[in-house]
Amino acid sequence: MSVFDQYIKDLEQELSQSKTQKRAEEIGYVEEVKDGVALIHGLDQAFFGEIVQFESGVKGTVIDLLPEMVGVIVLGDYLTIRSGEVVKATGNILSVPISDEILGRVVNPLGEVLDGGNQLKADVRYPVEKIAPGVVERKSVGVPVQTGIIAIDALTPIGRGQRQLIIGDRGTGKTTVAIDTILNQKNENMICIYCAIGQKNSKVTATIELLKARGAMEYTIVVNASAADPATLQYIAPYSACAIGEYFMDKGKDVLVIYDDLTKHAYAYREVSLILRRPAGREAYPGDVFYLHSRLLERAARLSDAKGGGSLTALPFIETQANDVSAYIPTNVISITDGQIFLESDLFNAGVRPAINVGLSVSRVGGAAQTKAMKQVAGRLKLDLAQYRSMAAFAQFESELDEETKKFLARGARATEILKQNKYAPYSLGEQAIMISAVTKGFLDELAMDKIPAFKEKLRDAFTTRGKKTVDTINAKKVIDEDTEKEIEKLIKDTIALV
Amino acid sequence: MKLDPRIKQELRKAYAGIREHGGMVEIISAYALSDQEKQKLETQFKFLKGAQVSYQTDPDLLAGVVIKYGSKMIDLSLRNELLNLKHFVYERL
Repeated sequence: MSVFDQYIKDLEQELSQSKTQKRAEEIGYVEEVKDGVALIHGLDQAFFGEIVQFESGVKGTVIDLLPEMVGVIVLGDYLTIRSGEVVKATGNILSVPISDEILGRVVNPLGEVLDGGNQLKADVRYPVEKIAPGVVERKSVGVPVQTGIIAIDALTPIGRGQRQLIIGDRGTGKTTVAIDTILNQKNENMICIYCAIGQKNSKVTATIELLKARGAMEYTIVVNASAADPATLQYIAPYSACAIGEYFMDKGKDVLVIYDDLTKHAYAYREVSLILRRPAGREAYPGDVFYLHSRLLERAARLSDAKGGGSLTALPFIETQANDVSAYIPTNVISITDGQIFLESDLFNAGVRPAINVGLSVSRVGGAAQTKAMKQVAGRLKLDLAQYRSMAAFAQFESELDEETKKFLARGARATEILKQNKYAPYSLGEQAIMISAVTKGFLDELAMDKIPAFKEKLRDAFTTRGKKTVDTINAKKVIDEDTEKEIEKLIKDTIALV
Repeated sequence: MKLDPRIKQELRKAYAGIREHGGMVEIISAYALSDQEKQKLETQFKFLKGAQVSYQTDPDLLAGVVIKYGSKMIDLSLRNELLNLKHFVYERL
């Protein structure tokens, strides 16, 4: 049967099933339309957050309840709305229709598909705005999220249910960190949601193509509210993404939500608030811009076993201007999240990529979210890097220093070298443990600095050949016992010999 | 200004009365309704009894009636059915 015939058949079936219920609808009349906001007279029984529908089919949501007017933000093209037209209240609160079919799809914040595929049939509607789980419903964070990036997994580890902020200037590799993390979740039983807020469509398309090519779209959902979409859609995008995440979390699954980025989200909210004539505060943001982000990020949680044991990990992004982390929005979000990862443009330009400033980055969950294997090797690495940083200023006087200091500097330089990583090339737990052991156990101290990249190359190759067994053992057992240690030592020494 | 609770009660009753019986009810039809048709409407919609009803015509409705009272509307017009069908078909697309 041709596609058209099938379509007609489906249509007939659905029409015969839907009963036209005659009930009284709440209506109002449009008085004013401004950029994305409609002021409506009537709608006496409308409640906050209710979805209303305009004559052209465009939807809006109630955001202002005034004595004589209802303020509605238009979730779509407001240019079709005319003054005096009838607005109907649907009786539903702003919510996203979700079912398991949404995995692998690209949707907009209202749940409508954007990737040209089949329409989604929804099981339930999850409210976009929701009160976060309370204290009793939660369990402390203990299971790691393996990002595949050594610098993060070893030094500022992320746990399932944590909020970790990725903050940096434009072009410092924030989105790359997100993509690497998504790529690494392939066998980690994690559902990923990438929420693009105010991004260029070309960039989002490139990201989706990359995820598709690497088979990551099977467990990923993309929620896209690009720069061309109205500010109102950009405003609700992260909440919609969170609602989709909560659907899976309530089923006991682990979810990772990436908000790229919340700075553009704050801009969109500022735009909407100014049109609604709400009083402007610092930097023209409305007074509740903190609440804007805090209520979003509080919804990340690890649920107790009674609630299904699922988790939602949030990775919000903030774009700074000139590395200024003491600006308004960055300080707001830093105080909300459980830690931050600073990406500095100086480091990026100096070739340290990922450009993570290890000294300023912190994870407030820390070791509780690391496997035993990682804890065994990472502690030493942290120490080496800390000592290196404290003496980095003296690096230029190398010839005049004592042996002890020279050793620290050498060790630190090699550690920094090990932390460098190519993009879209995440390391598994075992590979990371071996890489870190190479430097912390001192095997690389004698190797010349310019040979280290070649060593890394050869070691990477070895992971799929000679070292495969060792890597798999560590990945499975998540702990390094004595035999594994000996295997690691042999592997590293053999690889050094090859360089 | 504190009101006598009895006055409050009476006011509430009167106000509820206004709301229930619609106060002003507007019935818009595609063509002028006969008395028989008006009677039928009253039996279907109980709140029409005793309310001030104003009847108007609007040929754009094609057929059927639209009943408006307060901020509520019951749209039984053919135009609305066709509009719903249009939205339904386009959404399904």
